[in-house]
Amino acid sequence: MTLLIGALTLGLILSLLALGVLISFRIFDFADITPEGSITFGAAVAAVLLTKGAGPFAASSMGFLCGFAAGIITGILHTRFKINGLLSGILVMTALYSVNLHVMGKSNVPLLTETTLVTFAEQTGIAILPEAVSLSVLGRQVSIRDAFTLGFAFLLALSAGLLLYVFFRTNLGTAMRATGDNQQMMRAMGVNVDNMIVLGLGLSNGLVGLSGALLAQYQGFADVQMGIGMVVLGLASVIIGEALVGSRRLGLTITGAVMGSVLFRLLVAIALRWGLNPNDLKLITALFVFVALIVPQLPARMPRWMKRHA
Amino acid sequence: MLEITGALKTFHKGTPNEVRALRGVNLALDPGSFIIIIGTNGSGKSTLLNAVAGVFILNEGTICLKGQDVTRWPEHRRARMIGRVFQNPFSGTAPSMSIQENLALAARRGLPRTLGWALERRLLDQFRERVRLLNMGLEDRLDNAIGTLSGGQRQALTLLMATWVRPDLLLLDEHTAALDPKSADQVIQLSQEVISRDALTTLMVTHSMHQAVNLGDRLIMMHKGKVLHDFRGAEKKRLKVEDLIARFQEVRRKDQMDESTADMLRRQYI
Repeated sequence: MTLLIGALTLGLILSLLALGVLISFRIFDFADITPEGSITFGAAVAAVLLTKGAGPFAASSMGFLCGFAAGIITGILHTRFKINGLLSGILVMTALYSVNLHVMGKSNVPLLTETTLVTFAEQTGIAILPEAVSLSVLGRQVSIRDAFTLGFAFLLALSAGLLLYVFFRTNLGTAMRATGDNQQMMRAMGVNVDNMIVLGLGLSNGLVGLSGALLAQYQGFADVQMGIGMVVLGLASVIIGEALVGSRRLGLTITGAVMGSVLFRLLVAIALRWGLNPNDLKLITALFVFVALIVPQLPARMPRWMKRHA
Repeated sequence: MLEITGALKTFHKGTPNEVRALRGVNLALDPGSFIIIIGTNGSGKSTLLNAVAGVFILNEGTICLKGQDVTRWPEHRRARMIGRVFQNPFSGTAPSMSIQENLALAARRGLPRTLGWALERRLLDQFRERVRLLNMGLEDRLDNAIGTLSGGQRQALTLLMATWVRPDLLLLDEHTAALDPKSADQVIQLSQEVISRDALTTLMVTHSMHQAVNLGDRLIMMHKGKVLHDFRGAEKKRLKVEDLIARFQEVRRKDQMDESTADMLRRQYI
Protein backbone atom coordinates (compact mmCIF):
# COMPACT_ATOMS: atom_id res chain seq x y z
CA MET A 1 0.00 0.00 0.00
CA THR A 2 2.82 2.37 0.86
CA LEU A 3 4.35 1.56 -2.49
CA LEU A 4 1.10 2.39 -4.27
CA ILE A 5 0.61 5.66 -2.39
CA GLY A 6 4.25 6.57 -3.02
CA ALA A 7 3.94 5.87 -6.74
CA LEU A 8 0.75 7.95 -6.98
CA THR A 9 2.28 10.87 -5.11
CA LEU A 10 5.46 10.81 -7.16
CA GLY A 11 3.43 10.53 -10.35
CA LEU A 12 1.38 13.58 -9.42
CA ILE A 13 4.48 15.60 -8.52
CA LEU A 14 6.18 14.62 -11.77
CA SER A 15 3.01 15.40 -13.71
CA LEU A 16 4.11 19.04 -13.53
CA LEU A 17 7.25 17.95 -15.37
CA ALA A 18 5.05 16.16 -17.90
CA LEU A 19 2.98 19.34 -18.38
CA GLY A 20 6.19 21.28 -18.99
CA VAL A 21 7.35 18.76 -21.56
CA LEU A 22 3.87 18.82 -23.11
CA ILE A 23 4.22 22.57 -23.69
CA SER A 24 7.67 22.45 -25.29
CA PHE A 25 7.47 19.19 -27.23
CA ARG A 26 3.83 19.06 -28.19
CA ILE A 27 2.56 22.62 -28.29
CA PHE A 28 5.69 24.30 -29.64
CA ASP A 29 7.18 21.21 -31.29
CA PHE A 30 10.45 22.33 -29.71
CA ALA A 31 12.85 19.62 -28.48
CA ASP A 32 13.73 21.40 -25.27
CA ILE A 33 16.22 19.59 -23.09
CA THR A 34 16.52 22.39 -20.52
CA PRO A 35 14.31 20.46 -18.02
CA GLU A 36 17.28 18.21 -17.21
CA GLY A 37 18.84 21.29 -15.65
CA SER A 38 15.80 23.30 -14.62
CA ILE A 39 14.23 20.53 -12.53
CA THR A 40 17.43 20.36 -10.48
CA PHE A 41 17.61 24.15 -10.41
CA GLY A 42 14.12 24.35 -8.94
CA ALA A 43 14.95 21.61 -6.44
CA ALA A 44 18.28 23.13 -5.44
CA VAL A 45 16.92 26.63 -4.91
CA ALA A 46 13.91 25.37 -2.97
CA ALA A 47 16.05 23.07 -0.79
CA VAL A 48 18.57 25.76 0.04
CA LEU A 49 15.80 28.26 0.82
CA LEU A 50 14.13 25.71 3.12
CA THR A 51 17.37 25.10 5.02
CA LYS A 52 17.65 28.87 5.41
CA GLY A 53 14.24 28.89 7.06
CA ALA A 54 12.01 29.99 4.21
CA GLY A 55 8.41 28.74 4.15
CA PRO A 56 7.62 25.79 1.89
CA PHE A 57 5.25 27.81 -0.29
CA ALA A 58 7.77 30.58 -0.84
CA ALA A 59 10.52 28.05 -1.57
CA SER A 60 8.33 26.19 -4.07
CA SER A 61 7.35 29.44 -5.81
CA MET A 62 11.02 30.31 -6.14
CA GLY A 63 11.53 26.90 -7.74
CA PHE A 64 8.96 27.89 -10.35
CA LEU A 65 10.56 31.28 -10.97
CA CYS A 66 14.07 29.80 -11.31
CA GLY A 67 12.87 27.23 -13.83
CA PHE A 68 11.02 30.04 -15.64
CA ALA A 69 14.25 32.05 -15.87
CA ALA A 70 16.14 29.04 -17.23
CA GLY A 71 13.48 28.53 -19.93
CA ILE A 72 13.59 32.22 -20.84
CA ILE A 73 17.35 31.95 -21.40
CA THR A 74 16.95 28.91 -23.64
CA GLY A 75 14.27 30.79 -25.57
CA ILE A 76 16.45 33.86 -26.00
CA LEU A 77 19.42 31.78 -27.17
CA HIS A 78 17.17 30.18 -29.75
CA THR A 79 15.21 33.20 -30.99
CA ARG A 80 17.56 36.17 -30.61
CA PHE A 81 20.85 34.41 -31.31
CA LYS A 82 19.43 31.91 -33.81
CA ILE A 83 21.01 28.90 -32.09
CA ASN A 84 19.51 25.53 -32.92
CA GLY A 85 16.76 24.72 -30.43
CA LEU A 86 18.26 21.48 -29.16
CA LEU A 87 21.67 23.11 -28.71
CA SER A 88 20.17 26.08 -26.84
CA GLY A 89 18.69 23.65 -24.34
CA ILE A 90 21.93 21.72 -24.02
CA LEU A 91 23.87 24.92 -23.37
CA VAL A 92 21.54 26.05 -20.62
CA MET A 93 21.34 22.56 -19.13
CA THR A 94 25.14 22.28 -18.99
CA ALA A 95 25.54 25.73 -17.52
CA LEU A 96 22.89 24.98 -14.91
CA TYR A 97 24.92 22.04 -13.61
CA SER A 98 27.57 24.45 -12.30
CA VAL A 99 24.92 26.92 -11.16
CA ASN A 100 23.21 24.18 -9.17
CA LEU A 101 26.45 23.18 -7.47
CA HIS A 102 27.02 26.82 -6.55
CA VAL A 103 23.47 27.20 -5.24
CA MET A 104 23.74 24.11 -3.06
CA GLY A 105 27.41 24.49 -2.18
CA LYS A 106 27.74 20.70 -2.38
CA SER A 107 26.26 17.96 -4.51
CA ASN A 108 23.43 17.06 -2.13
CA VAL A 109 21.25 19.04 0.27
CA PRO A 110 19.22 16.90 2.70
CA LEU A 111 15.88 18.17 4.05
CA LEU A 112 15.41 16.19 7.24
CA THR A 113 14.26 18.66 9.87
CA GLU A 114 12.97 21.50 7.71
CA THR A 115 9.32 22.37 7.41
CA THR A 116 8.40 21.24 3.90
CA LEU A 117 5.14 20.84 2.04
CA VAL A 118 5.14 17.24 3.28
CA THR A 119 5.29 18.26 6.94
CA PHE A 120 2.73 20.94 6.12
CA ALA A 121 0.43 18.28 4.69
CA GLU A 122 0.97 16.12 7.75
CA GLN A 123 0.15 18.98 10.11
CA THR A 124 -2.96 19.76 8.12
CA GLY A 125 -3.96 16.13 8.45
CA ILE A 126 -3.42 16.14 12.19
CA ALA A 127 -5.43 19.34 12.49
CA ILE A 128 -8.33 17.84 10.56
CA LEU A 129 -8.20 14.36 12.16
CA PRO A 130 -6.68 14.90 15.61
CA GLU A 131 -7.34 11.38 16.92
CA ALA A 132 -6.34 9.21 14.00
CA VAL A 133 -2.82 7.89 13.59
CA SER A 134 -3.54 6.25 10.31
CA LEU A 135 -6.41 5.96 7.88
CA SER A 136 -7.98 2.78 6.72
CA VAL A 137 -8.21 2.62 2.95
CA LEU A 138 -9.69 -0.55 1.50
CA GLY A 139 -8.79 -2.39 4.64
CA ARG A 140 -5.14 -1.25 4.59
CA GLN A 141 -3.53 1.18 6.95
CA VAL A 142 -2.19 4.42 5.47
CA SER A 143 -0.36 6.90 7.63
CA ILE A 144 -1.81 10.39 7.92
CA ARG A 145 1.41 11.77 6.49
CA ASP A 146 1.26 9.66 3.33
CA ALA A 147 -2.45 10.15 2.84
CA PHE A 148 -2.37 13.91 3.15
CA THR A 149 0.78 14.25 1.07
CA LEU A 150 -0.98 12.36 -1.68
CA GLY A 151 -4.05 14.54 -1.31
CA PHE A 152 -1.91 17.63 -1.42
CA ALA A 153 -0.02 16.46 -4.50
CA PHE A 154 -3.37 15.74 -6.14
CA LEU A 155 -4.64 19.24 -5.39
CA LEU A 156 -1.44 20.78 -6.76
CA ALA A 157 -1.50 18.75 -9.98
CA LEU A 158 -5.21 19.49 -10.39
CA SER A 159 -4.80 23.22 -9.95
CA ALA A 160 -1.73 23.33 -12.20
CA GLY A 161 -3.64 21.49 -14.90
CA LEU A 162 -6.69 23.73 -14.52
CA LEU A 163 -4.63 26.93 -14.53
CA LEU A 164 -2.79 25.76 -17.62
CA TYR A 165 -6.07 24.92 -19.34
CA VAL A 166 -7.54 28.33 -18.52
CA PHE A 167 -4.34 30.05 -19.62
CA PHE A 168 -4.34 28.29 -22.96
CA ARG A 169 -7.89 29.45 -23.57
CA THR A 170 -7.03 33.14 -23.09
CA ASN A 171 -5.98 35.38 -25.96
CA LEU A 172 -2.34 35.05 -24.99
CA GLY A 173 -2.50 31.28 -24.55
CA THR A 174 -4.40 30.81 -27.81
CA ALA A 175 -1.78 32.87 -29.62
CA MET A 176 0.89 30.70 -28.02
CA ARG A 177 -0.71 27.46 -29.19
CA ALA A 178 -1.19 28.86 -32.67
CA THR A 179 2.48 29.88 -32.76
CA GLY A 180 3.36 26.21 -32.34
CA ASP A 181 0.93 25.39 -35.12
CA ASN A 182 1.76 27.98 -37.77
CA GLN A 183 4.36 30.69 -37.21
CA GLN A 184 3.89 32.32 -40.61
CA MET A 185 0.20 32.88 -39.88
CA MET A 186 0.91 34.31 -36.44
CA ARG A 187 3.39 36.85 -37.82
CA ALA A 188 0.74 37.91 -40.31
CA MET A 189 -1.63 38.27 -37.35
CA GLY A 190 0.73 40.73 -35.71
CA VAL A 191 2.20 38.42 -33.10
CA ASN A 192 5.87 38.56 -32.18
CA VAL A 193 6.54 34.87 -32.61
CA ASP A 194 9.93 35.05 -30.87
CA ASN A 195 8.38 36.45 -27.71
CA MET A 196 5.78 33.71 -27.73
CA ILE A 197 8.45 30.99 -27.90
CA VAL A 198 10.49 32.63 -25.12
CA LEU A 199 7.45 32.95 -22.89
CA GLY A 200 6.29 29.43 -23.68
CA LEU A 201 9.64 27.92 -22.80
CA GLY A 202 9.66 29.99 -19.63
CA LEU A 203 6.26 28.63 -18.65
CA SER A 204 7.30 25.09 -19.54
CA ASN A 205 10.47 25.19 -17.47
CA GLY A 206 8.72 27.06 -14.68
CA LEU A 207 6.43 24.05 -14.25
CA VAL A 208 9.47 21.79 -14.39
CA GLY A 209 11.26 23.87 -11.74
CA LEU A 210 8.16 23.71 -9.52
CA SER A 211 8.07 19.97 -10.04
CA GLY A 212 11.73 19.82 -8.93
CA ALA A 213 11.01 21.90 -5.84
CA LEU A 214 8.17 19.55 -4.86
CA LEU A 215 10.22 16.48 -5.66
CA ALA A 216 13.05 17.63 -3.38
CA GLN A 217 10.59 18.16 -0.54
CA TYR A 218 8.92 14.82 -1.13
CA GLN A 219 12.06 12.71 -1.35
CA GLY A 220 13.76 14.75 1.38
CA PHE A 221 16.79 15.99 -0.53
CA ALA A 222 18.00 17.84 -3.61
CA ASP A 223 20.76 16.26 -5.61
CA VAL A 224 22.79 17.71 -8.45
CA GLN A 225 22.26 14.51 -10.48
CA MET A 226 18.50 14.33 -10.09
CA GLY A 227 17.75 15.88 -13.49
CA ILE A 228 19.30 13.13 -15.58
CA GLY A 229 16.76 11.46 -17.83
CA MET A 230 13.94 13.78 -16.85
CA VAL A 231 13.08 14.89 -20.40
CA VAL A 232 12.62 11.32 -21.58
CA LEU A 233 10.60 10.60 -18.46
CA GLY A 234 8.33 13.56 -19.13
CA LEU A 235 8.00 12.57 -22.75
CA ALA A 236 7.08 9.02 -21.76
CA SER A 237 4.30 10.42 -19.55
CA VAL A 238 3.03 12.64 -22.37
CA ILE A 239 3.01 9.71 -24.81
CA ILE A 240 1.19 7.43 -22.37
CA GLY A 241 -1.27 10.24 -21.76
CA GLU A 242 -1.94 10.64 -25.47
CA ALA A 243 -2.56 6.91 -25.76
CA LEU A 244 -4.93 7.08 -22.78
CA VAL A 245 -7.11 9.97 -23.96
CA GLY A 246 -6.58 9.41 -27.70
CA SER A 247 -7.34 13.00 -28.56
CA ARG A 248 -5.57 16.25 -29.29
CA ARG A 249 -8.20 18.41 -27.62
CA LEU A 250 -6.58 20.79 -25.19
CA GLY A 251 -8.33 19.76 -21.99
CA LEU A 252 -7.86 16.09 -22.71
CA THR A 253 -4.16 16.35 -23.56
CA ILE A 254 -3.53 18.15 -20.26
CA THR A 255 -5.52 15.56 -18.33
CA GLY A 256 -3.74 12.86 -20.30
CA ALA A 257 -0.29 14.14 -19.39
CA VAL A 258 -1.15 14.07 -15.68
CA MET A 259 -2.70 10.62 -15.95
CA GLY A 260 0.23 9.41 -18.03
CA SER A 261 2.70 10.53 -15.41
CA VAL A 262 0.80 8.73 -12.65
CA LEU A 263 0.37 5.56 -14.71
CA PHE A 264 4.03 5.58 -15.64
CA ARG A 265 5.01 5.75 -11.96
CA LEU A 266 2.67 2.88 -11.17
CA LEU A 267 4.23 0.78 -13.92
CA VAL A 268 7.69 1.60 -12.59
CA ALA A 269 6.63 0.65 -9.07
CA ILE A 270 5.24 -2.66 -10.30
CA ALA A 271 8.36 -3.39 -12.33
CA LEU A 272 10.59 -2.64 -9.37
CA ARG A 273 8.41 -4.85 -7.19
CA TRP A 274 8.89 -7.67 -9.69
CA GLY A 275 12.60 -7.36 -9.27
CA LEU A 276 13.63 -4.94 -12.01
CA ASN A 277 17.12 -3.66 -11.37
CA PRO A 278 16.69 0.08 -10.65
CA ASN A 279 19.82 0.74 -12.71
CA ASP A 280 17.93 -0.42 -15.80
CA LEU A 281 15.11 2.03 -15.27
CA LYS A 282 16.39 4.78 -17.57
CA LEU A 283 17.31 2.28 -20.27
CA ILE A 284 13.83 0.85 -20.18
CA THR A 285 12.25 4.31 -20.17
CA ALA A 286 14.29 5.26 -23.24
CA LEU A 287 13.32 2.01 -24.96
CA PHE A 288 9.70 2.65 -24.10
CA VAL A 289 9.77 6.12 -25.68
CA PHE A 290 11.55 4.68 -28.70
CA VAL A 291 8.84 2.06 -29.18
CA ALA A 292 6.09 4.60 -28.60
CA LEU A 293 7.60 6.85 -31.25
CA ILE A 294 7.90 4.17 -33.94
CA VAL A 295 4.59 2.40 -33.37
CA PRO A 296 2.58 5.08 -35.21
CA GLN A 297 4.88 4.62 -38.26
CA LEU A 298 4.47 0.86 -38.34
CA PRO A 299 1.25 0.58 -40.36
CA ALA A 300 2.93 2.52 -43.16
CA ARG A 301 6.06 0.40 -43.06
CA MET A 302 4.47 -2.99 -42.58
CA PRO A 303 3.26 -3.67 -46.14
CA ARG A 304 6.70 -3.07 -47.60
CA TRP A 305 8.34 -5.24 -45.01
CA MET A 306 5.82 -8.01 -45.56
CA LYS A 307 6.36 -7.91 -49.30
CA ARG A 308 10.09 -8.15 -48.94
CA HIS A 309 9.84 -11.13 -46.65
CA ALA A 310 6.97 -12.91 -48.34
CA MET B 1 -1.65 54.87 -48.92
CA LEU B 2 1.26 52.66 -49.96
CA GLU B 3 4.38 54.11 -51.50
CA ILE B 4 7.28 51.98 -52.67
CA THR B 5 10.37 53.80 -53.92
CA GLY B 6 13.45 52.26 -55.48
CA ALA B 7 12.90 48.81 -53.97
CA LEU B 8 15.95 46.61 -54.45
CA LYS B 9 16.31 43.06 -53.15
CA THR B 10 18.91 40.45 -53.97
CA PHE B 11 18.73 36.99 -52.41
CA HIS B 12 21.83 34.87 -51.72
CA LYS B 13 24.07 37.80 -52.57
CA GLY B 14 27.59 36.85 -53.63
CA THR B 15 26.79 33.16 -54.15
CA PRO B 16 26.19 31.23 -57.40
CA ASN B 17 22.49 31.21 -56.49
CA GLU B 18 22.25 34.99 -56.46
CA VAL B 19 18.79 36.16 -57.48
CA ARG B 20 18.10 39.81 -58.17
CA ALA B 21 14.43 39.60 -57.28
CA LEU B 22 13.56 43.31 -57.17
CA ARG B 23 15.52 45.74 -59.31
CA GLY B 24 14.18 49.14 -58.48
CA VAL B 25 10.42 49.00 -58.11
CA ASN B 26 8.48 52.24 -57.77
CA LEU B 27 4.80 52.08 -57.01
CA ALA B 28 2.28 54.37 -55.36
CA LEU B 29 -1.23 53.27 -54.41
CA ASP B 30 -4.20 55.56 -53.90
CA PRO B 31 -6.45 54.75 -50.97
CA GLY B 32 -9.24 52.40 -51.99
CA SER B 33 -7.60 51.25 -55.19
CA PHE B 34 -7.59 47.60 -56.18
CA ILE B 35 -4.42 46.69 -58.04
CA ILE B 36 -3.72 43.47 -59.89
CA ILE B 37 -0.12 42.37 -60.39
CA ILE B 38 0.73 39.89 -63.10
CA GLY B 39 4.06 38.78 -64.47
CA THR B 40 6.12 35.89 -65.71
CA ASN B 41 7.53 33.32 -63.31
CA GLY B 42 10.30 34.84 -61.26
CA SER B 43 9.29 38.37 -62.22
CA GLY B 44 9.28 39.40 -58.56
CA LYS B 45 5.55 39.85 -58.02
CA SER B 46 5.32 37.66 -54.92
CA THR B 47 8.63 39.07 -53.70
CA LEU B 48 7.13 42.55 -53.96
CA LEU B 49 4.17 41.51 -51.82
CA ASN B 50 6.47 39.90 -49.27
CA ALA B 51 8.59 43.05 -49.18
CA VAL B 52 5.49 45.10 -48.37
CA ALA B 53 4.43 42.57 -45.71
CA GLY B 54 7.89 42.69 -44.16
CA VAL B 55 8.88 39.05 -44.64
CA PHE B 56 12.37 40.41 -45.37
CA ILE B 57 14.03 43.82 -45.23
CA LEU B 58 14.89 45.55 -48.53
CA ASN B 59 18.53 46.02 -49.56
CA GLU B 60 17.65 49.49 -50.77
CA GLY B 61 14.59 51.64 -51.18
CA THR B 62 11.76 52.62 -48.89
CA ILE B 63 8.22 51.51 -48.16
CA CYS B 64 5.74 53.96 -46.71
CA LEU B 65 2.37 52.88 -45.43
CA LYS B 66 -0.25 55.42 -44.39
CA GLY B 67 2.44 58.09 -44.27
CA GLN B 68 4.72 56.07 -41.99
CA ASP B 69 8.09 54.78 -43.09
CA VAL B 70 7.81 51.06 -42.39
CA THR B 71 10.93 50.03 -44.33
CA ARG B 72 12.66 48.59 -41.28
CA TRP B 73 9.58 47.42 -39.36
CA PRO B 74 9.40 43.70 -38.61
CA GLU B 75 6.59 41.67 -40.11
CA HIS B 76 4.46 41.43 -36.98
CA ARG B 77 4.50 45.20 -36.47
CA ARG B 78 3.33 45.89 -40.01
CA ALA B 79 0.58 43.32 -39.55
CA ARG B 80 -1.42 45.94 -37.63
CA MET B 81 -2.10 47.63 -40.96
CA ILE B 82 -1.91 44.69 -43.36
CA GLY B 83 -4.20 41.72 -43.95
CA ARG B 84 -2.82 38.83 -45.96
CA VAL B 85 -4.02 35.74 -47.79
CA PHE B 86 -1.34 33.35 -49.00
CA GLN B 87 -1.12 31.11 -52.05
CA ASN B 88 -0.90 27.97 -49.94
CA PRO B 89 -4.20 27.28 -48.13
CA PHE B 90 -2.16 25.73 -45.31
CA SER B 91 -0.27 28.95 -44.61
CA GLY B 92 -3.08 31.17 -43.43
CA THR B 93 -4.64 29.13 -40.64
CA ALA B 94 -3.62 27.09 -37.61
CA PRO B 95 -4.65 23.57 -38.65
CA SER B 96 -4.98 21.87 -35.27
CA MET B 97 -7.12 24.67 -33.82
CA SER B 98 -10.82 25.18 -34.33
CA ILE B 99 -12.43 27.58 -36.77
CA GLN B 100 -13.59 29.80 -33.92
CA GLU B 101 -10.15 29.88 -32.30
CA ASN B 102 -8.60 30.87 -35.60
CA LEU B 103 -11.16 33.64 -35.97
CA ALA B 104 -10.52 34.75 -32.39
CA LEU B 105 -6.82 35.05 -33.22
CA ALA B 106 -7.71 37.16 -36.25
CA ALA B 107 -10.08 39.35 -34.25
CA ARG B 108 -7.06 40.59 -32.29
CA ARG B 109 -4.74 41.27 -35.20
CA GLY B 110 -2.57 44.18 -34.18
CA LEU B 111 -4.00 44.23 -30.65
CA PRO B 112 -2.10 43.06 -27.57
CA ARG B 113 -2.66 39.42 -26.62
CA THR B 114 -4.10 39.71 -23.16
CA LEU B 115 -5.27 37.28 -20.51
CA GLY B 116 -8.88 37.84 -21.54
CA TRP B 117 -10.93 34.81 -22.56
CA ALA B 118 -10.27 34.15 -26.25
CA LEU B 119 -13.71 32.83 -27.18
CA GLU B 120 -15.99 35.51 -25.76
CA ARG B 121 -19.70 34.95 -26.23
CA ARG B 122 -20.06 38.28 -28.03
CA LEU B 123 -17.41 37.24 -30.54
CA LEU B 124 -18.90 33.78 -31.07
CA ASP B 125 -22.17 35.29 -32.23
CA GLN B 126 -20.29 37.52 -34.66
CA PHE B 127 -18.30 34.52 -35.92
CA ARG B 128 -21.44 32.57 -36.69
CA GLU B 129 -22.97 35.57 -38.41
CA ARG B 130 -20.00 36.31 -40.67
CA VAL B 131 -19.14 32.66 -41.39
CA ARG B 132 -22.73 32.11 -42.54
CA LEU B 133 -22.15 34.78 -45.20
CA LEU B 134 -19.44 32.57 -46.73
CA ASN B 135 -22.22 30.16 -47.76
CA MET B 136 -20.13 27.11 -47.04
CA GLY B 137 -22.17 25.61 -44.23
CA LEU B 138 -19.33 26.15 -41.78
CA GLU B 139 -21.38 28.16 -39.28
CA ASP B 140 -22.48 24.99 -37.48
CA ARG B 141 -18.98 23.52 -37.42
CA LEU B 142 -17.18 26.37 -35.68
CA ASP B 143 -15.51 24.05 -33.19
CA ASN B 144 -14.12 21.75 -35.89
CA ALA B 145 -10.38 21.81 -36.46
CA ILE B 146 -9.38 23.84 -39.52
CA GLY B 147 -7.26 20.90 -40.63
CA THR B 148 -10.43 19.01 -41.56
CA LEU B 149 -11.52 21.63 -44.11
CA SER B 150 -10.91 21.78 -47.85
CA GLY B 151 -8.49 24.23 -49.43
CA GLY B 152 -11.30 26.44 -50.69
CA GLN B 153 -12.95 26.59 -47.27
CA ARG B 154 -9.63 27.44 -45.68
CA GLN B 155 -8.92 30.22 -48.16
CA ALA B 156 -12.40 31.66 -47.61
CA LEU B 157 -11.76 31.63 -43.86
CA THR B 158 -8.28 33.11 -44.27
CA LEU B 159 -9.85 35.91 -46.29
CA LEU B 160 -12.42 36.48 -43.56
CA MET B 161 -9.62 36.46 -40.97
CA ALA B 162 -7.43 38.87 -42.94
CA THR B 163 -10.28 41.35 -43.18
CA TRP B 164 -11.92 40.80 -39.78
CA VAL B 165 -10.12 43.82 -38.40
CA ARG B 166 -10.32 46.19 -41.36
CA PRO B 167 -6.80 46.29 -42.85
CA ASP B 168 -5.40 49.49 -44.36
CA LEU B 169 -3.91 47.28 -47.03
CA LEU B 170 -4.98 43.83 -48.20
CA LEU B 171 -2.37 41.57 -49.83
CA LEU B 172 -3.64 38.63 -51.88
CA ASP B 173 -0.78 36.45 -53.09
CA GLU B 174 -2.19 34.18 -55.83
CA HIS B 175 -4.71 33.13 -53.25
CA THR B 176 -6.75 31.01 -55.66
CA ALA B 177 -3.88 29.37 -57.56
CA ALA B 178 -3.97 26.20 -55.46
CA LEU B 179 -7.75 25.75 -55.64
CA ASP B 180 -10.03 23.89 -58.00
CA PRO B 181 -11.87 26.17 -60.48
CA LYS B 182 -15.16 26.16 -58.57
CA SER B 183 -13.59 27.02 -55.22
CA ALA B 184 -11.39 29.59 -56.94
CA ASP B 185 -14.47 31.34 -58.35
CA GLN B 186 -16.12 31.26 -54.95
CA VAL B 187 -13.08 32.76 -53.21
CA ILE B 188 -12.70 35.42 -55.91
CA GLN B 189 -16.33 36.40 -55.50
CA LEU B 190 -15.92 36.65 -51.73
CA SER B 191 -12.79 38.73 -52.22
CA GLN B 192 -14.60 41.11 -54.52
CA GLU B 193 -17.47 41.46 -52.08
CA VAL B 194 -15.31 42.31 -49.09
CA ILE B 195 -13.03 44.63 -51.06
CA SER B 196 -15.90 46.70 -52.39
CA ARG B 197 -17.92 46.58 -49.14
CA ASP B 198 -15.04 47.84 -46.97
CA ALA B 199 -13.38 49.88 -49.76
CA LEU B 200 -10.10 48.08 -49.11
CA THR B 201 -6.87 49.14 -50.71
CA THR B 202 -5.76 45.88 -52.29
CA LEU B 203 -2.71 44.41 -53.98
CA MET B 204 -3.50 41.12 -55.67
CA VAL B 205 -1.01 38.89 -57.44
CA THR B 206 -2.47 36.45 -59.93
CA HIS B 207 -1.51 34.05 -62.69
CA SER B 208 -4.97 34.07 -64.17
CA MET B 209 -5.42 36.38 -67.16
CA HIS B 210 -9.18 36.32 -66.66
CA GLN B 211 -8.87 37.52 -63.09
CA ALA B 212 -6.37 40.13 -64.26
CA VAL B 213 -8.70 41.70 -66.81
CA ASN B 214 -11.95 41.29 -64.89
CA LEU B 215 -10.88 42.48 -61.46
CA GLY B 216 -9.39 45.64 -60.07
CA ASP B 217 -9.07 49.19 -61.30
CA ARG B 218 -5.39 49.11 -62.14
CA LEU B 219 -3.08 46.45 -63.53
CA ILE B 220 0.65 46.19 -63.19
CA MET B 221 2.79 43.89 -65.26
CA MET B 222 6.12 42.95 -63.80
CA HIS B 223 9.15 41.46 -65.48
CA LYS B 224 12.61 40.71 -64.13
CA GLY B 225 12.10 42.58 -60.90
CA LYS B 226 10.72 45.74 -62.48
CA VAL B 227 7.35 47.25 -63.31
CA LEU B 228 7.01 46.87 -67.06
CA HIS B 229 3.50 48.19 -67.73
CA ASP B 230 1.03 50.10 -65.62
CA PHE B 231 -2.54 50.20 -66.95
CA ARG B 232 -5.09 52.32 -65.16
CA GLY B 233 -8.50 53.90 -65.54
CA ALA B 234 -10.08 53.57 -68.95
CA GLU B 235 -7.04 51.79 -70.33
CA LYS B 236 -7.37 49.06 -67.71
CA LYS B 237 -11.10 48.74 -68.40
CA ARG B 238 -10.52 48.25 -72.13
CA LEU B 239 -7.84 45.60 -71.55
CA LYS B 240 -8.64 42.13 -72.86
CA VAL B 241 -7.03 38.75 -72.28
CA GLU B 242 -5.65 38.84 -75.83
CA ASP B 243 -3.95 42.15 -75.15
CA LEU B 244 -2.21 40.70 -72.10
CA ILE B 245 -1.11 37.60 -73.98
CA ALA B 246 0.30 39.82 -76.70
CA ARG B 247 2.25 41.78 -74.13
CA PHE B 248 3.65 38.62 -72.63
CA GLN B 249 4.71 37.34 -76.05
CA GLU B 250 6.41 40.62 -76.72
CA VAL B 251 8.37 40.23 -73.50
CA ARG B 252 9.30 36.68 -74.36
CA ARG B 253 10.47 37.68 -77.86
CA LYS B 254 12.62 40.43 -76.41
CA ASP B 255 14.16 37.97 -73.95
CA GLN B 256 14.94 35.45 -76.65
CA MET B 257 16.43 38.12 -78.82
CA ASP B 258 18.61 39.22 -75.93
CA GLU B 259 19.81 35.67 -75.46
CA SER B 260 20.45 34.89 -79.09
CA THR B 261 22.23 38.19 -79.56
CA ALA B 262 24.38 37.49 -76.57
CA ASP B 263 25.09 34.03 -77.92
CA MET B 264 26.12 35.40 -81.27
CA LEU B 265 28.39 37.98 -79.70
CA ARG B 266 29.93 35.32 -77.50
CA ARG B 267 30.68 33.08 -80.45
CA GLN B 268 32.25 35.92 -82.39
CA TYR B 269 34.34 37.50 -79.69
CA ILE B 270 35.23 34.86 -77.12
